[in-house]
Amino acid sequence: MKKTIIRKKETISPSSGRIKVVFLLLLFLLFGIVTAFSQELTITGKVSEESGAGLPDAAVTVKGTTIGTFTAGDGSYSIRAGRNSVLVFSFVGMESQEVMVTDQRTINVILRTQMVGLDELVVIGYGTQSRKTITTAITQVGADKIEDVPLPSVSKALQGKIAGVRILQTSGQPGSEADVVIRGGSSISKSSDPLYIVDGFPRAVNDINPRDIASIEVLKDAAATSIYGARASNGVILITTKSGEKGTANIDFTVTTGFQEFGRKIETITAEQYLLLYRPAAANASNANANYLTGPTATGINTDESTWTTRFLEDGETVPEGWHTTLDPVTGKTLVFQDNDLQEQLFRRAMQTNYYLSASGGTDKITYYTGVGYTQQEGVAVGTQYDRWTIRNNVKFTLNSKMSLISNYDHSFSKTNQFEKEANLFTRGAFNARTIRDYFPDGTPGWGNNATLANPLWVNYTRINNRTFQRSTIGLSGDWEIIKNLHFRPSGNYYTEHYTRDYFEKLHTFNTQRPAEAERDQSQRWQYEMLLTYDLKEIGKHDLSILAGYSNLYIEDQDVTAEAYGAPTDNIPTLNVAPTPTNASSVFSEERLVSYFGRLLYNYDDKYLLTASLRNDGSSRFGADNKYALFPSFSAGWIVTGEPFMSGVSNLVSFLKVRLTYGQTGNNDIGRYASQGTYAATYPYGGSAGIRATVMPNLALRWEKTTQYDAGFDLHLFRKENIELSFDYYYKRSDDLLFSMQLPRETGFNSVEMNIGSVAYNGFEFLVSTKNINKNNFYWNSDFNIAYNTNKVLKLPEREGIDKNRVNGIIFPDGTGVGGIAVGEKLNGIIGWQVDFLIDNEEQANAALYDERAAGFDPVTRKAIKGRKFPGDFEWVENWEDGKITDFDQFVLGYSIPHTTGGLTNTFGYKGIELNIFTDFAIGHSITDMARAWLNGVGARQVQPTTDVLDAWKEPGDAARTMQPKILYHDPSAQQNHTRNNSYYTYRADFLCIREISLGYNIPEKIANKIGFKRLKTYVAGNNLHYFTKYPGYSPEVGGEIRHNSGSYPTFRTVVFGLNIGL
Amino acid sequence: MKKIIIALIILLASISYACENNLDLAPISSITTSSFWKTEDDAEGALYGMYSQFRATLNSNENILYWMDFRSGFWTIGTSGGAGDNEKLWQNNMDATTTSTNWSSLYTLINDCNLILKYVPEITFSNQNFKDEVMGHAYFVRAYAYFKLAQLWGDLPIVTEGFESITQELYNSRSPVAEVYVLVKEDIAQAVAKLPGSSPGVKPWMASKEAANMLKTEIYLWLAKRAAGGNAELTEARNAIDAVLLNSFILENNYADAFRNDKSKEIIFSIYFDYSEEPNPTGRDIGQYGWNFVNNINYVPASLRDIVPNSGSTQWLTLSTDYTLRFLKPESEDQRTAVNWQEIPNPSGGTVKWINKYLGTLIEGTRRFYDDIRIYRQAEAYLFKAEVENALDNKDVAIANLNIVAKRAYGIDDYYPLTLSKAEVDEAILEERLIEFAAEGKSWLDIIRFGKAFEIITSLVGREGDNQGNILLFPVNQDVISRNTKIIQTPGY
Repeated sequence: MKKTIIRKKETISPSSGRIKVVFLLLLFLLFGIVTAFSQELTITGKVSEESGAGLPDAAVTVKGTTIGTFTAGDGSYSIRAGRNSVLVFSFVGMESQEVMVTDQRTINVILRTQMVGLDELVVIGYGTQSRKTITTAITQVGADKIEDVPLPSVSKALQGKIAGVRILQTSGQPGSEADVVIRGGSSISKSSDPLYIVDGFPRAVNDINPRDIASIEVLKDAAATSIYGARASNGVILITTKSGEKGTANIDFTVTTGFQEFGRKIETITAEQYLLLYRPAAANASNANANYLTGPTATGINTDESTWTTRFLEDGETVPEGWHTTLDPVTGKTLVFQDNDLQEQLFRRAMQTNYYLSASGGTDKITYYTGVGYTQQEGVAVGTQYDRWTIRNNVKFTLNSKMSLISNYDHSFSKTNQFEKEANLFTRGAFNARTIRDYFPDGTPGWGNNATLANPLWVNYTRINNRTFQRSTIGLSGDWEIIKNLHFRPSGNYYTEHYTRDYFEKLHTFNTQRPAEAERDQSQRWQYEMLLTYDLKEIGKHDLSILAGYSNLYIEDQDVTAEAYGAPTDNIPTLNVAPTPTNASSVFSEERLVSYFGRLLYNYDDKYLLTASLRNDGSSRFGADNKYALFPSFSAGWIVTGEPFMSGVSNLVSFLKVRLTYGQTGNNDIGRYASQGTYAATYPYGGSAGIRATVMPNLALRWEKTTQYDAGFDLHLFRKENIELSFDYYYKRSDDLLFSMQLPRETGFNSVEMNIGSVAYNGFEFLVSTKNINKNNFYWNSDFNIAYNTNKVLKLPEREGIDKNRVNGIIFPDGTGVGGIAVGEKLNGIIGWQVDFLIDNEEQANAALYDERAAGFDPVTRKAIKGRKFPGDFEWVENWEDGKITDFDQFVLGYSIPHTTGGLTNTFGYKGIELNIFTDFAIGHSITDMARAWLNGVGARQVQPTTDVLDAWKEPGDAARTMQPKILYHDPSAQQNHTRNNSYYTYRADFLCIREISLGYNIPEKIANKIGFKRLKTYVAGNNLHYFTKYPGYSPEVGGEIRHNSGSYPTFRTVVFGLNIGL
Repeated sequence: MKKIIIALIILLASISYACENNLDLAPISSITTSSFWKTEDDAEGALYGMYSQFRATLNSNENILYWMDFRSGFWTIGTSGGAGDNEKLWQNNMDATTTSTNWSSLYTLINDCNLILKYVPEITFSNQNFKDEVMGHAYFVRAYAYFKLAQLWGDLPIVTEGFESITQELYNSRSPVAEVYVLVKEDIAQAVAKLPGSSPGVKPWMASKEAANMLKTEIYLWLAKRAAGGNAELTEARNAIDAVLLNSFILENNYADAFRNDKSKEIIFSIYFDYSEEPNPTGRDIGQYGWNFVNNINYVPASLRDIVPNSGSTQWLTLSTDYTLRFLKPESEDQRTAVNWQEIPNPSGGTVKWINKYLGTLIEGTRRFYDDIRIYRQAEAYLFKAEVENALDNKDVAIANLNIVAKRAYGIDDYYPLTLSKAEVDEAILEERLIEFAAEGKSWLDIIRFGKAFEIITSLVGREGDNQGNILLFPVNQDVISRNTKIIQTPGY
């Protein structure tokens, strides 16, 4: 390629100007005529692999025509082609080769396995571009990177693989998706979810079968995303599904099956340890009923019918089988009790099975791809499950040499069994004190402490909560080449999403009404688009491609819910037998986005690259005066290695491209009607419907605008391109941030949507791919990426008397403050009290600062002196210096999101065996684990403390060995050592995760062929195998504050075995 | 060229025909600010919306207890272990972060009233009486909200315009409480004038002329006793309470009937609750009030579950011994005792106890908490009358009215003799109030009105000077000040 360019340069004088263009056009025409009249020859030859073996089924075509053939079993072919025509040799997974026919009759070619080549096409918005000439920050992820990940979710499969994209698995509920944030997002308070475009259509990424995907392109800088205008500030993820190629049919069948298990348990103390610690604690506390009424430590009325088991051993009684016994430290009598760790019983080893069958191929006129998949994934928590069926059909019809049609159809159905309020199980119910009863003697589960602190087994037993989703896309697009290189591409897409939720409670202790709920939501989207593209290829050294487009997207949502109770039986879990309706509601809403856009791609001599785009978006979401906005972008690239002066170092630097980009994008993520204000229905009063003002209008509401600059380079070292580096630095600034600004309480509204303030984000991304070893049938490749992102608030609305115009934080009396959002500070701070030291003796306790939150109950005098501290309490650090500890003494304890993320993949191969080891990491985020603090702080009441309390301070001198404050019967109403946000329970959540290990074996083709297969591959793959982290909770991937009533489904470990058969 | 023209025609035709470009989409399932307030139906919707918020204001987080009962120290934690922040209220150790120091929900209610008062006059009604009635309700609720705010916090931001735009003055500072009382007096006068009279037993949950007069009596009694008022205020109060007593509300013979029947003719005004008005099947949100009083099933021995009201909820709150030992007489002497309080021995040690008012209703085995919260009862009308007359030195009339309530309670005529001094009569009225309205959200403000806070409330003894003398006021929540720095904290907090 490079040589051709140089020759051109020699033959055409750079000064010839317009004449040159005309001359070229003529030459072009002449060339076409010559081709048409040229004599046809029969060419034969052989297509081989690098190993020398013949390559069957490789395509051999005459470029620019529909003439073509396939190689036979030994790789040989025969084709008729004109002199001076170009033969194209191609095979999936191989680099294509073009050879010009001159006088030779035999053409033998060797096709090399495709490396990530520069000629590879990358999907950009509304088109494709070669990787070499791209000027923006786009990362491509091929199918091979995601299809064998043993998780049925696309977003989770991408984790750690793309520099600058922070992906965290925040929920382990089967069927859930990961949190995906590109370059730190763009917004303070609005969604930072990227825009997903699947085959040109905006839709949710959920329920897309990863195996249907051909490639994923992540558009990161604004020059790349600006073509998507008002929805693009958080980046765009383009998903392209597989399509067929001309040739014999490929039938591919994959089955994987494996298990999943709960990865990280929260260690709690045993029931015996618990009684020994908390019965004395209760005896010393103010609530004297605790040890003899009922409850986890109580002995009084616990019988076979109670939910707690602790009681005294009766005279002459033998300890029941399976029960535990210990001496009561309070009375000296013998206690008997069960030790039931509900956490252990909630989680299980769960199965996962996947089937996927695809067929693809085609003729000159029709190419097709069809894929059918079924996934069944049990959750690691009992009763949870995800079932998914997917089908996809992509067919291309070539109508004639000028026209083609593509028809897409896909459908997915998924069913999820999940818990209604996950936090009630994973951070509450699973930690019922271990003297709880798991099952009653009759075999039914014990119900637990109360309705919201229930035994998970009982919740599973009494509740039915099923969700289903059906999602379909029907798409039809055409391509008409009106005149040469001028294409008209109209397309229409229809997408529909049906959601159902059915909930039912069986008759149970806390509710005998059998409430039932049903929800039916339908969302429909219509999108019409028209694109005109015009390519002016190789007019001299100029290469120009123009795009103009129009897009119209209309969304309509209809949500219906109904609730009723009073069914006479558990056997009918639907509303029809529940005679008393309690709620019926239908809510309709709609939105429209109308857009015009254009783009210009210019390339001079494969050295100087320019791109400019412009989009005009109009959205129904915005205030009357601000319906439309323009989003421009420019980018430029310089392929330095195209310059003659670089030829001297071409052995070292095989490719170097420098990129500079600028672009503007928007974020329209506010409620559909937020600008107009809302009067909405309240609960009725006295049987009459009520309406109240619920949203304050703001007719001036407009786009959130993000301006982004990016500078980067792509560098390939050495001739074989065995080291590829890429680096990007970016700076982006979001203005007119959409923000729910808190209003004074006296207004009666909590907040109003406003465009306020500015935030800047900046960061870098670096990635390197190396081919470390490649010889003697052994290879070792590595991919490493790392990205850093930070932010700073630049502007907020003026607030009189408030330092840094802080909003939503704690304001000190002098106007300074902490937390919330403030000019000059970073976002996402977690605030709380900072531990100074653990008070060890009376002297320190007497000298301690007055602590506003400490109740100061003295177990000796049995009196409370507010603010008083005792040995075993924390002394806090003062921030606002007024001699006492108050809300003003909080600090930023950490940040909830990591500043640095990345991943490292090592791939080893030897004679068909491939081993992948993939790790990823996140650095810089913290977790304030108030769920753990709650367990440790209120343990005496209903919940099981963690093993932390075994180290608790007991007597003076202990501070030398521990920082764990003393055990209190009920910390929230006592000293609040645990149950206020504090540095002791704030953990650095930095982690390194062994995310995936896969070991595959491609059974040699000869053997595979013998048993009738084209290909045969077996593999074993594991996911989420191990975290290295200091954080002791379920998963370090959830940053920020975890409270006992906000925890989510923990993530888990997966191992599957897979078999892939090609027919 | 022809092809290009064809293509352009197709393109333009499809853009203009196939695609609707209208971006002015109005909501379908709600109403925008600009399209509301057009018809009589809108006004009626807003009326019930306001009452729905009134209920939310008093009920959510049990505000009625937090604001108006807890600080007397008559409350403590139930069988559940945690008092949390509540302890600070019943110990009178509050600060700017204590729960319930946020006045937000009262101002939300005021905003609803303000919008009604602004727009309803502009709407044409087919029935002028109904228009007056809607206005009367809004004046009544606004008077109630500002009066309670003034009693609890003293100086206040006065907001009388509904908020509809960010261009309005959003940041207001606290005005002297005397100015608040001026507004309260105007509003309650309007409410009395505009609201229709009540038929006892019919919709007591909608305010009436009698409900307004009860509030008016309470306001003027407070002004007379706590805001440097005098005989003029007491006379206003007397006129108001006399108007209430002219109606035919009754005292139920059986004290319990006033609580077991939401349409009892004893109820002058109540807040409506119903299962069907709250979609949460556990009844958690709608009936928090009673929900908090009943024992959790796990804390009731199996042998007592038929006797002791229980549910799956947690007994968070109960009356303290400071109250039960001081004020509850044996059941044989006072029929109210058994309704207010139950305590029975637990066969295996300790006792099982609970507040026996507001028990909810058992429906097919599940206890549902949707008793209406009583705001004014006829018993209070008699006690108000007694209080007013005693203040106006008509001791005998006062004792006569006091004895009506005493007669029902103790079954004894002339329970309080005419020989009592004026001060003793006041003491008796207060004591009767503290028993009669146990757990009804009255005690804190009653004790203050009678000027007895530093005598009766154990935790306040000797603390007259605390918080620069403002110990009887509430601090303003930190959140309120952070959002509006023009709000100055109550001095001393």
